[in-house]
Amino acid sequence: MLTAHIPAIIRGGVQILAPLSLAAHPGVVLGVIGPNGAGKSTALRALAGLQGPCAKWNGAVLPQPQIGYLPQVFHLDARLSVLEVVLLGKRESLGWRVASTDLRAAQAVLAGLNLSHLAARQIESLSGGQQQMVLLAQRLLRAPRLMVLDEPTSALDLHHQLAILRHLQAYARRTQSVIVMALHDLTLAARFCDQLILLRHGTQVAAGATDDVLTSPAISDCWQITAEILHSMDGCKVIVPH
Amino acid sequence: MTGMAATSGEASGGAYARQIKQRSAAVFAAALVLGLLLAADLITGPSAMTLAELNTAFWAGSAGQDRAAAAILWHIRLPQTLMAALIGACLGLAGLMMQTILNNPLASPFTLGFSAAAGFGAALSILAGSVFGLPQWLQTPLAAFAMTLAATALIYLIAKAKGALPEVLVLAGIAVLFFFQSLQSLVQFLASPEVLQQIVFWLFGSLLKASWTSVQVCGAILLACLPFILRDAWNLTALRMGDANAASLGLDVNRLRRRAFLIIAALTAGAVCFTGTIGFVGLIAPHIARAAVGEDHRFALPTAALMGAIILIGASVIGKLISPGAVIPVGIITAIAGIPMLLAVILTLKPAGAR
Repeated sequence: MLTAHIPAIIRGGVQILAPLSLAAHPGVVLGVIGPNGAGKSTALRALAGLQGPCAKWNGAVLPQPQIGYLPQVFHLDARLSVLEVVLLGKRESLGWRVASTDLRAAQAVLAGLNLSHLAARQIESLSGGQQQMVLLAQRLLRAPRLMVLDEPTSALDLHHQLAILRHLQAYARRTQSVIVMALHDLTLAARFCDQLILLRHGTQVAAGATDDVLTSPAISDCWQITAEILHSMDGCKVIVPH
Repeated sequence: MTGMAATSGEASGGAYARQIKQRSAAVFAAALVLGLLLAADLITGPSAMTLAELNTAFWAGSAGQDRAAAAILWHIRLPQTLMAALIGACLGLAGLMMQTILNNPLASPFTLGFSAAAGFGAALSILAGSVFGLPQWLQTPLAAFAMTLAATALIYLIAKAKGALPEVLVLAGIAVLFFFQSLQSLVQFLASPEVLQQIVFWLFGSLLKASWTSVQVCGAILLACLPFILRDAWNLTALRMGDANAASLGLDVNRLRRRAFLIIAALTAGAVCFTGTIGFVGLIAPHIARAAVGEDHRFALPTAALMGAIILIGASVIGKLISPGAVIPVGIITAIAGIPMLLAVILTLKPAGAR
């Protein structure tokens, strides 16, 4: 089971994140939601251990190689092929010659995300969304126990948003790992997250099962909008802002 | 679907294997060109020795019967040629590592003021004359080397205190560059005309100062650095994905930068302390290497070293051909030839918005 106690984070004399505790059972997808400036990225960076170890698995500190952190998207301009970028996920174990098992594993991850056709392309020539998916493939190759993803679908079209989130959910279930991700789209959060943490002004406003956290009053209060909550045919919440 | 994925996977595996073969071929071709240029450099020079005479002198060894031929080949040309190859390799490697750790295509081993520090050390030694009973030929390289290490220590301490971010390293390097340049100017101002002439000649960067000692020292530094450089090949490749991505692959980015920085300092100090400042090689060689083999540093590092050596030996041959009587210092040739190359690099850079 994943547990983490993120200490208060203060920058320039201002507290940007109050102490935050979270817990998730294996196989769970945990969403972190909140308006801009709520402290989502700060919380995720801390959880990923960039400011020192923080996440624990069954009470023991989770070592860095077991955490797959994907920061928000930015453009890569390296002269490396997509396959080479994914292979870097195995950085620690790569020798002077790339083992055929590592190569096959990288190809399998790309195939799993339907990216095989991009394998030989230069990473710098891809769109932001494609780069985001390649970096996700790289993190998946590490087979981490905890995935920490900062808006992993921000640069993707609707088709790929659904495909990637389905893949991630299946990965969490299959490997009994935990995925913690920041999302802006509340309908996607409702559909793919088992639990949610709602942040506002660096403080946790609500946490728990997705249906309990995602309520009309909570949305109105945090985003200063009126939101109608409908249900799709498969029973998932659909948030319609007004 | 599984069948399609498998076919696609095999295709990408085949493409990767082909890419590796092409890169290995590029490294081999560069080594071949270097070999030919080494031979060309050995057979060019002011004394009109024929190829046959050189061949005989080579196999006769340094104690051959033809004393003049043995002296020219074994005491002048061979050390100069080997030194050019070693300096080029050191500067090519240091240049690629510098551009990678600073994420800046216009960085070179001299960006952080190493050459200015070496120049000041040498100038000070020439001005002071022989101290501690050391001969001048030994004291000047030692002073240049020591001063480069002093500049390194200064930047390293700043990077240790403030974090080895590219902008911190560049700003600290600029401060060190201007500091040692002004000290160099002060020494030149204080020097008599004769001493000033010696200082200026040192700063030119000439292979005429090469000797077997310099070849051994520079070679030893390069050999000592190589295992550390090659061990970090994958880490340097990972750094090309940006700090945040590299760090989330479990790489200690700050430590890698500091480690690479020390190696760059040692390579640069070893390269310039005997022969003086040789510019542009460390800037251009990495660009040619990246264009030829991409940024997988397993291939980019050896290619940058080979390209550095090729450029410098090429400059040496050109210097001897242009002016057979009075060989033009290679530092001047690389600087002149480097400017159009630098402009080509700038013109092929992508605009900031597209990067």
